[in-house]
Amino acid sequence: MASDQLNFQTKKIRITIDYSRCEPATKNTSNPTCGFACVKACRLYGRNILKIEGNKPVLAVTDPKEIERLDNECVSCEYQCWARGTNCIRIEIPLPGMEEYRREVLGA
Amino acid sequence: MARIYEYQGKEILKKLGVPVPSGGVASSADEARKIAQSMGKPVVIKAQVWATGRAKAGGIKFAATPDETGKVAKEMIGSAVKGLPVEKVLVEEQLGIDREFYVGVIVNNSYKVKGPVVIFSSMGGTGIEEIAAAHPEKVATFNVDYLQGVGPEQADQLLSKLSFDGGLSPQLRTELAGVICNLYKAFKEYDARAAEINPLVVTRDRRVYAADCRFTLDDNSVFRHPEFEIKVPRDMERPPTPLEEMAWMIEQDDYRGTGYFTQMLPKLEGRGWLGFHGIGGGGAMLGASAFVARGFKIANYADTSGDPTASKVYLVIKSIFSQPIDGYVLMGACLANQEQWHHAHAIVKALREEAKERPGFPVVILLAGNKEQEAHEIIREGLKDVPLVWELYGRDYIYDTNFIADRVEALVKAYQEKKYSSKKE
Repeated sequence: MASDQLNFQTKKIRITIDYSRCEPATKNTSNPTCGFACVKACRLYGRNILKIEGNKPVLAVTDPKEIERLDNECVSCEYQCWARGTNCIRIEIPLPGMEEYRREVLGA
Repeated sequence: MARIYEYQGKEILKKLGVPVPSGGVASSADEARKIAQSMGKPVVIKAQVWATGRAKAGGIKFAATPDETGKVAKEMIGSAVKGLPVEKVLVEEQLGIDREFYVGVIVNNSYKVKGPVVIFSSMGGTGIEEIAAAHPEKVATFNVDYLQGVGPEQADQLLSKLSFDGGLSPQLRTELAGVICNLYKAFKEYDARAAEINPLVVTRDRRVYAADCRFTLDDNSVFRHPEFEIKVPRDMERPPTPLEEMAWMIEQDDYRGTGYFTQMLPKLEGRGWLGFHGIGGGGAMLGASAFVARGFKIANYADTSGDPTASKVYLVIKSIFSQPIDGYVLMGACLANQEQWHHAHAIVKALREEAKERPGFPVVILLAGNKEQEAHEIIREGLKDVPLVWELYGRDYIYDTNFIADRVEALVKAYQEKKYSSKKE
């Protein structure tokens, strides 16, 4: 369900946070086991694109152009959620044609 | 420096008033035959590849009739000249050559010059370096004042410095000066790094022609010349591979650090290819040398320096793994200012994905520099449960390229033994 997701695009990547699997969002807790690792990661490695609001990670910057300008595509939120949370963040970094190429060359 | 083909260079020259032989470019034998037919005279068929010495390599042939032209073109198109695939041929009138010269405009990067230099040689046909070494009196140069440009006066002064076997008539002198001026115009108008005519010929009936030419354009100006359809604006001896074209998209229009990727050969055959990933030039190059010395074949050269985003690093790693390689090595041996934790996040994301397809695959990571400790913690944690055989080294090993090469050798050999022996079974 769209409302159960936060989905946004930066310059080259697409980030999806699945709230239906996000511990603080599902439990509506301000003290989740993950410690809001994604938001902390965004502060340490990124550009403060994420913030905590209503006990879940949301966009601190909403203008798409500003997100594109600011975000440094550190991909740390995905990693930290995997390492400390419930693995509910997916980051897609597409390169057009690569999948087809790999199928052809590597058979993968 | 992005190269263009001879036929494209000749189109530029023709546009700017430098005489070129009549003819046309063909992508098929039939097209070549038709061009020869329209000219109604003997022709020369020239493979359009970025290589010198094409004649000796079978890339330049002559034909007396249109049918013969078609036959030669059929043999040439689809073949390889000096390992480069021939997709097009240039069909031109044959010239009765009486004299050969060389004229070129290059950028001299020397701090004393830092600008264009016009070179003229009263001998042509072979490499200008060889001519200058054997006959220095036949070569003269002129440093161009960029604001002033090159006019008939400067061109004449340049020609005055030279000795010409057989002399130089006033008419020929004027024509050669015209060629010099127009070549410089072409150089400037097309943002070239080098524009050369070799040989510039005088025919037996006293006509001057650019018989062959070579243009390289400034990488950063390629966007101003879409007519050349340059897919990857880099100094390459061959057209880009499909993977290089894809990897170029990592850098295209994204100026956030370097995400460079190039393949060493258009096609990787056999075993023992190593996926190579460097950070910064020097240490990475030394690493590559150490691996080659141990018999590895480097599949690619990749560089992620200058503070690239993790997304860029990720795509470079994915490009490296898009090759049939038997190992991956990262030589991040620079104590760079870039925060290496971005590399760590990219490495973990890419390798976790790749591990699913290649259990037991050997990976050696040397990652040193700013935020090294944090980067190592991320990698150790992120790769702790992946089915790769991986080793991680830091600043203690940046001067120990041989040790890194030892580890790569050990891991890759073990992987190959397993991989290829299990295939036999």
